[in-house]
Amino acid sequence: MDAMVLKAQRWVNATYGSVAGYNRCAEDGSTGWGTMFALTRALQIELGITSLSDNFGPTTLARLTAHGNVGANSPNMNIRTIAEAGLYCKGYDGGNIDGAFSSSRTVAGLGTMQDHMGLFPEWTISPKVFKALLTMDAYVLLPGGNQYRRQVQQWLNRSFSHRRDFYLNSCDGLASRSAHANLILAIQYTLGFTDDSANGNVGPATKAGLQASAYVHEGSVDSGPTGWVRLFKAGLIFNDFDGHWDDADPQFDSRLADKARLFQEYTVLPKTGDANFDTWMSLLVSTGNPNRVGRAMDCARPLNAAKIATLKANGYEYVGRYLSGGTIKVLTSSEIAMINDNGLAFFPLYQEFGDSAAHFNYTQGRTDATAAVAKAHELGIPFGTVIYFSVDYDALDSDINTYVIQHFKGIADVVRDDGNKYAIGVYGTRNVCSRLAKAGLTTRSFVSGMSTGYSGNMGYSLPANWAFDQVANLTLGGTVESPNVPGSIEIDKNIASGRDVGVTSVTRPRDYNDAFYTYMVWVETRAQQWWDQGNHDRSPVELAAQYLRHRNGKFNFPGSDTVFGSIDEDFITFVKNYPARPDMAPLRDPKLFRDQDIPHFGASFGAVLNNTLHSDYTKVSLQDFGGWAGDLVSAVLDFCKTGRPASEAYTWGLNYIASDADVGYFNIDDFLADVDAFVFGWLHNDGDQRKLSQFFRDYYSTPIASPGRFWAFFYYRFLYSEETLRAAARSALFQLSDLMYTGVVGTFWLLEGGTGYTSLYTVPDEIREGIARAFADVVLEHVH
Amino acid sequence: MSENSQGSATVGRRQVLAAGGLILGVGSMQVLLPSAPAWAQAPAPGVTLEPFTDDAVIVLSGDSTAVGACPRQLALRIVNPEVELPAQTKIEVVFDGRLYAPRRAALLSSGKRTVKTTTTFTSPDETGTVVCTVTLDEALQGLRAGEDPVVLSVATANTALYPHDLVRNAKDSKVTVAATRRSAKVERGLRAGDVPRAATPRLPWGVELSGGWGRHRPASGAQFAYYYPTQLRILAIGPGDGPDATTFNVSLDPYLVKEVTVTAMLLNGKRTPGKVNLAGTTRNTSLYQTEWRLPVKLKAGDVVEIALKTTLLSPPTNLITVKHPVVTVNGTLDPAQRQTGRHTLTRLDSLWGPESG
Repeated sequence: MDAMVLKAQRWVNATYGSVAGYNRCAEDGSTGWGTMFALTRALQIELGITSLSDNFGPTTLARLTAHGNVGANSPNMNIRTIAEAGLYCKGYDGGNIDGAFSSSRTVAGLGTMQDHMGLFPEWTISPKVFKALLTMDAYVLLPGGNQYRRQVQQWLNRSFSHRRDFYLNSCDGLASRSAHANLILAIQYTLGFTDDSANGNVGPATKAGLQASAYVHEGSVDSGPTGWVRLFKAGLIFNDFDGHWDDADPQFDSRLADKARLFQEYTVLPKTGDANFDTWMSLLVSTGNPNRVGRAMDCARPLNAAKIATLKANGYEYVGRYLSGGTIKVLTSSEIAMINDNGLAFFPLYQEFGDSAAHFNYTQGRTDATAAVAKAHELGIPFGTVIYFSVDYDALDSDINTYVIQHFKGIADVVRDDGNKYAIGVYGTRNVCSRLAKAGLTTRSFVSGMSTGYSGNMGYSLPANWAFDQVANLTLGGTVESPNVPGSIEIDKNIASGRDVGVTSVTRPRDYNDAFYTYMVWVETRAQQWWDQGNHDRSPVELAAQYLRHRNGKFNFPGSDTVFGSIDEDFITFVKNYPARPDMAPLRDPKLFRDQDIPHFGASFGAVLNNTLHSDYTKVSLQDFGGWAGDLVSAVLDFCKTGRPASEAYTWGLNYIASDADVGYFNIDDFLADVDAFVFGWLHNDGDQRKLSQFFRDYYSTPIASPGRFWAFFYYRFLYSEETLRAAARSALFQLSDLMYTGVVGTFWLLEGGTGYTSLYTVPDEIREGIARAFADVVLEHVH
Repeated sequence: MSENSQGSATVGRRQVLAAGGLILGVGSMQVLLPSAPAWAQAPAPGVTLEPFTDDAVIVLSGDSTAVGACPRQLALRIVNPEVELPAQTKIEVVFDGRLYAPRRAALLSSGKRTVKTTTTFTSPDETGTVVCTVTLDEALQGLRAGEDPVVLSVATANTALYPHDLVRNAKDSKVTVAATRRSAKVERGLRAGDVPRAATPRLPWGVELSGGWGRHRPASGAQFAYYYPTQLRILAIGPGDGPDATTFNVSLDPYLVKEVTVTAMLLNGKRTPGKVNLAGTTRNTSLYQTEWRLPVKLKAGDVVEIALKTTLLSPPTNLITVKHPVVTVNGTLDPAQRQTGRHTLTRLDSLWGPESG
């Protein structure tokens, strides 16, 4: 409690409490924003402003400028009293808060504050000083502040505050956005900008000016009290490099050159020791020169072979990829394999909606870390790898205290409980990164430097543990990323410090089908998107299967929709136009080493979903025709085309059905597709919630697991009964009771033609019996 | 403390250092000649030091319930009627560097006149003591009738010391003016006047407030932005326990916010019995303010997390002024309350159309 602050609060409330628009401040003897805003409104009242505001804006400044400096001889005793009250709220002696202003105490207090501001004592308060007086800015060195930074802050105030838009910055030795903006203003003034053109932002004109005029080097000397050498030195100090400041020193000496080299080394610039353009940019903007070469990148969408080739061609070595999150970010083992096989390293990122304060708390931190760690384990990411958790918004200091640190404590607890297998990193602004590192919660930082206007970047130096610095968004391999331009890719370019070498190999054994799983997950994600957009005619699972069916066009023919289900052409178009489709990869049976026919699977799966089994399992329906039964009809058709005697049908069928050779419609690829389509479809219809990608993983990951689906086929379709199997196989070629079935078979037979028989049902029984028996034996062979 | 040397700046007006209200506290100033001749030891009254000491600032110690004080300004008037202080006279101000924020260079002035001086700061030991030596670069003429005495201004009490605001064994300051041919050595302590005392002495205590903000995003009006608090975090920083009741205010623009409510409170991460009570509401054309009272007495180290729900209003098209959002943990007038400067939060980056104020 400060007795004079209390006196100031009581005075301002007593004087203005009855004025409309004035908001009383607490009378507690503690300076806070409430008191500062009360004084601001009091000043506005005295200046004749009727629309009172907490903001000391242009109107207040203009009126006060018209009023003139405030001092012992200035008119309006109340304004003088407000100034004295403000002095106390700032911690300086304001006399008796009576407006007398003539006491030695007020003048000495004011003089000391002006000195702390870096100004020469004037004994009166200028409008800009008054504006500063009514803020919570400090002009004394605060704990954690740097005395040289404070000296630069004072020098800036002293040297440039006569310019129109240069307002006094704090002089507390702490990093500050306003002081950094003032440094840029000072540079613009030095470049000759007018008050109308100087804006505190590094735009094209400032960049051009820096390139043309700001190059200084060892031996350079400022010709006056300000100049490029001092500005460069100020930039180094604002970036926590250099430990020396002297207003009177105009020299670019060897010490300064050494500091410049240290800064350049730290920011991965050529160590020239001079103030070249790239160095200026790295001092002033969190991107540095965004056009400089970067060896790292990150992207939201999965990489495929063509995109990786583009990255390699452009010299990238490190790839930032998301462990999970959203609908388009998923990292998979096949992508890791491609990245590493091409000699690139990757660094894992984790982000789930981390783009506002509301996402961050201890519990959510635990949730995020649990998911990230699980995914890292699943992918076999080596222990010790840094996982970067995102803070993807402009978190203020108070946000960091309240939300972000708690969030990362949750992350840290989960990682610790997991045995500290992974290191914790953060993606965020410079301030977020530094604060978390200082709190001991992170070991590496991925700096979102591209957000140059963020309050957490401007004025803050690169964190000491920075590993990657995001500096530019660009498209490689084309003007825009497009599915129609293979290899085109939109990336965020990063500068790599070398503090994180990334992941060059994983501990998880490679699954031959990883790339297919990646592809499948991508298709399923699109299907879910389509569903989420309100397209509910088909389930996401069916949509995914339809896209597979559509791939080679063989399963779109007259009548096909009757069997496989009507296709959603709009969805197909949606997927085709969606960027970053992973490479289409084969799906190989891990025991038979043969590929499944993916489009065939998609079609047959649709048949299982759109038709029902006959209630008598020895009979067949369109559901069967869409899979194995249709292929069995094809086998008869193909046998008839051979002209072989009917007596060879069985033997021919044994060699033909599920053959390794690429013949006809019922080779091993088709057989696998039929079996998978029925089993997965049956389970899906039975309520199994697994996605297709998971079904495939469960049955295709190991040679031990893969035969299970033949067993399941035999069990679910034929009740694990050889008799039922053989009867159903026969029904597929003889059954006439189902008009829909026979109609589709008839149409199919006619379309294929060339058999010498008008229909399936005119084919000699011996042939059909032989083929049916062969099919049953092939199934049993795979089951057993 | 680094050594800093600088000549004095020019003073604008003469009348500023009028008498009155200038009281010295504990401390000493010493005026020293380069070598003190024998005659200098003789008593020579004629130089009087009048420190500014009646305005006291509270100094708290972490291990004591006693409330100390130091003068807000390390400054004094040098009254030297008819006695000239020659060039090279040294004035020495010794003070506790933990308490004061010194000027870049001491200022010796009277009205429009500034006496040319050179200032050096040294730290002779590791206790935090700072010695400010002011050397006259020109003679300080003897004070004539009707003239104001010169004022020497060295430093101001640093009120922004948190979290290093607890000072054990704070040292008193002193000023010494060395002897000259015509004046004897003068020494004076700079001790503060009285400070408020609590009825019941207690260990220092304090709170630190932080919070997160939501952004008011109306459907239209890309140029509009207003922030409102969504969560607060109050840390009792100790070392003593807090008061029986901790209150805080949430102040918002009445045209932009319809209502604020507290939806949840956690104490040290756990739900506790009782709820945050609404202690008062003010709503008029310029302010919507709610005052809230915590249901628990905060012990040192306690963390209270408070979730706020804010019902927003669509911004009027003619909004020409704004009430910035402010959250403040209210002070208690208790001298033992630490001044953290972190008991108040605001955002100044609202956008509300035609800027006013």
